[in-house]
Formats: sequence, structure tokens, C-alpha cells
Amino acid sequence: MDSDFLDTAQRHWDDAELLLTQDRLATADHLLGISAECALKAVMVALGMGLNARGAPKAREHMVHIDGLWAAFQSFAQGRMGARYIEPLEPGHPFGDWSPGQRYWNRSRFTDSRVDQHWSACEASLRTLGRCLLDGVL
Amino acid sequence: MDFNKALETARQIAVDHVGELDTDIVLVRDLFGRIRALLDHLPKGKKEKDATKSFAKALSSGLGNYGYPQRDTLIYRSNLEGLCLPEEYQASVLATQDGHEIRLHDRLLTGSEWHAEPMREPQRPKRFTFFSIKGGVGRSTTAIILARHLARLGKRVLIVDLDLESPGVGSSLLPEEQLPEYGVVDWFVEDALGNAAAIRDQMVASSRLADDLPGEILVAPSYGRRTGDYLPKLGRCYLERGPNGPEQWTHRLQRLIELHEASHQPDIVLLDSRTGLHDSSAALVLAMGAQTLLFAVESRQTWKVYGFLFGHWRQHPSVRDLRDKLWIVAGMVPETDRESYLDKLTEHSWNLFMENLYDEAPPDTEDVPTEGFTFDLKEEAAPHTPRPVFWHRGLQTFDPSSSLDVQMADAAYGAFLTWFDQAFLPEDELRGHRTIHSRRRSEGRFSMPCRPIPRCTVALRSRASPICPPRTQRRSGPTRCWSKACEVRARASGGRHCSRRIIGS
Repeated sequence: MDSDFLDTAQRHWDDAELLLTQDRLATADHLLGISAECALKAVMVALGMGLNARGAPKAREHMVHIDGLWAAFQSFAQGRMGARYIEPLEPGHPFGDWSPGQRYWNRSRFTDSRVDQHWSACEASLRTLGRCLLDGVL
Repeated sequence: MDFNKALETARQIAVDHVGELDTDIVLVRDLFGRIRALLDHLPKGKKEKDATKSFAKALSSGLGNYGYPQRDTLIYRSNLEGLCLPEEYQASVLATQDGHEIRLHDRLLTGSEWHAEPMREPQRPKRFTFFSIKGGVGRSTTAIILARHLARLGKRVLIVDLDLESPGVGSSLLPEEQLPEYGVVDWFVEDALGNAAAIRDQMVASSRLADDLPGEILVAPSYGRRTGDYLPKLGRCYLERGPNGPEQWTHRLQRLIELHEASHQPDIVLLDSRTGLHDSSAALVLAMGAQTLLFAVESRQTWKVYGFLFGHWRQHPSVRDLRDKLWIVAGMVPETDRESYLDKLTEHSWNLFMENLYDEAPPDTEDVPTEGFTFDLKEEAAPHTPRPVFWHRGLQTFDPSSSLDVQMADAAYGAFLTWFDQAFLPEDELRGHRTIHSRRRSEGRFSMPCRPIPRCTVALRSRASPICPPRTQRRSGPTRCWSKACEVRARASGGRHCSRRIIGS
């Protein structure tokens, strides 16, 4: 599998945005989580995270979705370079209530406030990715 | 190809191609120094595609190691929406050609603060930054002596130790048992998590150096009694994130100083900077709206490094807001041969200002005469004229936590303090203290009282100056939110665009 985390981060974000214009919060929320995960994984690869032959992270603790990756990223990104990419991210855990299994939930459970929180966190992840891209590290 | 040639080469290639491209170009120089171009949108039609291909090929082949492979040389905003790319104002103009601008967006790991916007609003209370290129030139001691002098005049002085890598002024003024609970490093760590309120009233203590004086010296040290392990906190101090999200370090520092000012109501604030070209020094010199005392000794290192700094400022779009707040102070002027030492220092200082910050007299000064910013070599009130602090044996053993040898302070600092009073303190505040100044006047050339500060004394046509071009209009205002969804929502509801704003990249 050839992973392209830069492209998938943007692709899922674009699709989430499209759904949000029609107030289709449930699937948008799912895509925001995937987009944020891809954005952080793209930065982690740039900072030296190893990938296996399938294009997935080698380390088990990094082979997770955004609900586990947000905190893992903050531990992974160390030193001056890492600090550059942590700064846009809030220190809490905005995706702590997100999981990929929620795509099977009923749509009524996806509230505005919940999606807003994930939208902001996803946007921050993309900001980090943008920094990395312009820095020439990606 | 090397680092210097790469930018000029890229600029020239952009100038050659911008006409065909028919769009503004932002050259992005990455952390390694490699350069590529950011364009607004993907090319449409054969003509545009050919133009962009030719541009990409020229950049990639022309820049060698400082370029990108051709396929990665151009990036497009339209492809990268959501990634919060820099706005125009975050890039300086390199050239204008065929009605389009070629800009540079420079990605720096450190040092970007030296390009920060100077604060233009007058500050109340008055702030002063103490900066030096190298250590051991008497910078912190001068801050302490000045603080005591001002307290003697009845001033309430706040002195903040921002030499975080080598804290000194705080611990000099406050023995261990008088330190407050917390220091500057604690505030930065707590503030990032929104917890600064818990320590805000426990970061300042009063120094006993002013016990017998009408004024007061308040000290905000780098560390306090409960700081604990200093290095883990120091290593987190420069995070560019505040309690509400990404925030430039200069803004965080401004908040800290404003917090102290609001809590303690000082008349004057003295900010002791760290040595050298560090980001934290840049914040203190540029972004605090402070008058900056630049300490210098007569050495090649001093003038070389000041030359780097001033040379960088020549390109600063707001150099005019910055340059009239800079003052050279001659530190540790030796006991012997003072006149000749100060003559040399004055000449080097004048060259530094002339080459970089003073307006140059145009060949024809008859047209459009306006006020210029330039001074003669011997102009006493000029920023380049060194205000001397004389070396004194007593300074070697000076302990600010004990009493001060007034004679020593007067001999070493008389000329400097006289200049400071006359330059920065209103006349009515000095009444009753004239005897000290009168005595100092008899001490020689550099203890003569300075004239009031007549800025811009020479009439020049500053607009014609090649050194200080007219300030480029800064395009500011809230950065746009990149969210398409929000735009659509806003249009649908007839309301404002999304309240989420991109703070910066």
C-alpha cells in the first residue's frame, strides 16, 4: 500500500467541508477524524517515523486512529523541530470522544458542538501540516 | 550555487517569468534554504501551462541544490486549501515587475523575531530594554544602578530579568530569601496551559536596595523560590502557544509585561535582555515599544555582530518606527586613554548607523526638502553617540543586595545617568536633584549635560534615500478563514464569515 498522508489529509478535509455545507454532520465528523490522523501522520513521517512495507507506521503505538494518535504525536514530536509542529495543536484531547466505529451511529448523535470541536482540531492539524510543507521538511 | 546566490537567482528567474505567468509570485525559502514558488491556482489553458512549466524548469535547474525537483517546484494555494498558507503580508517584496509582485516568504527555525513589527504606540509606563552583543559589558549592573537612581528620584521601577539562559539581575537584587515564589519561566509554562492566574500575584518582590529611598525597585526575576528544576521549564519557555491557541512569543511576552504593569503600576520598566542575537532579545528590542540601550565595547566582534543586525534592519519595512528608539551605550570604558577609546567607539558607531539606519544625503538637497534622520559624527544628541559607563574597580565587587557605594556609582555612571535624566525624564521630575547633575558637569567631556533630544536635526529629502525606502504598505487585517463550508454557511445565513481566524502559520 502506498500511503500518501498529505493528499489524504486534504482529500478528507475537502470532503468533510463539502458535507458541512449541507449540514451532514455525521459523516463529516468521521472524515474530520481521518483527515486529522493523516495530517499528523504526514508530519510524523517527515520527522522520521518509520513505515512498514504497507505504508503504515512501524511502531504499534503509532498504528492508531486520531483518538489515540493526538497524544502519541505530542510524545513523538520532540526538540526544536517537534515544537514547531506541536504549537498549533491544543494540549488537551479534542478527539478523545471520536472513534472510527462511530460511523455506524445514528446521525442524531452528532451535535454541532461536537463537530465544531473536531473541525477546529482538524484545522489545527492541517496548520501543522502546512508548516511542515513550507519548511521543506515534508 | 550557494545560499546567497540562490535567492538572487530565484528572484531574477521570477522577474523573467512573471510577465508570462501574469500573477504574483511568492518565493518560499524553506528551513534548508531551498526555494520554490507558491502560486494562486493551477494553470488553465495551454498558454498558462506552458508558462508555469517553463518557470518550474528554470527554477529547478537554475537553483541546483537550493531548488526542488521540477515536479515539486511549484505549489498552488488552490491545491492546498486548509493548510493555512502564508498571507501576503507574511512575505517581503523582492521586486515588482509587469504589475505583479515577487515576494519572499522565509521559513526560519529561529531568528524570525528580528523581523517583527515594532510597537508604535507610546508606552505608559516608559519601557527600556538593555541589550548587548556580548556578556561582561556591564549591562545588568547598569540596569541595577539606573533602577536605584530612579528610585532615588522617587520613581517606582520594575526591573524584569529576561536573560533566561543566564539569569542575573533578579538574583543580584534579591537574596534567596527575598525571591518571590515564582519567576518568568514559571509564568510561560503555566500560561501555555491557561494556568497563569494561579501564580500571577507571586512573581514580583521589592528590593532592599531602595529601602532608604523615596521610590521603590520591584523585581520580576527569572526564577523564584518554588521554581524547582529550572532547565525543564526553560526548555518550554519559547513555545509559541498561549492559553487560547497559537500565539507568537512576542505577544506572550507583551502580555506578561502588561500583566506586571497593571498589577504593580510602575513608573518605569527596565527589561534586561539576554546577550546576542536571540529571538527573545528581538522581542525585547522590537516589540515592547521600549527605548533600547545597545551596549558596546570597542571590539571587532561588537561591530561585526551589530553590523549583521543593523544590516538586517535595513530591509525592515518598519525601520522608521524602530531606529529612533536605539541608543548606543559604551560599557566598561577603560580608566586610561578614555578620549581616544571613545573617539574610536564613536566612529565605529557612527559608521554603523550611517551605513544602515541614517538617511543618506541625496546629491541634490534642494528639491522637496523634508526632515531626515541623520546626525553628524560629533552630534551629542545622536543615537550613535556612546553614553559612557566608566570602568571602576569598585564595580568588580559590587553587591546590589547590600548598600551602594555612592562615590563609585557617581564616578562610573555619572555621565550616563545625566544623559538618561535629560533624555527621558521630564524637566519637572528632576527638580530638587540638580546638585548631582551640576557636580557631574565638571567631570569632563562626556559628563556634559546633553541637549534635549532633537530628533531629525538635518533637513533632508528622506524619500530619495536609497537606504530607507518608503515603507511598504503592510497588508494586514484578519487572516481569512480557509473553510469553504464556513463561507457557504455565512452566505446562506447572511451573517459574518466564520469567527475562527487563522492566527498565523
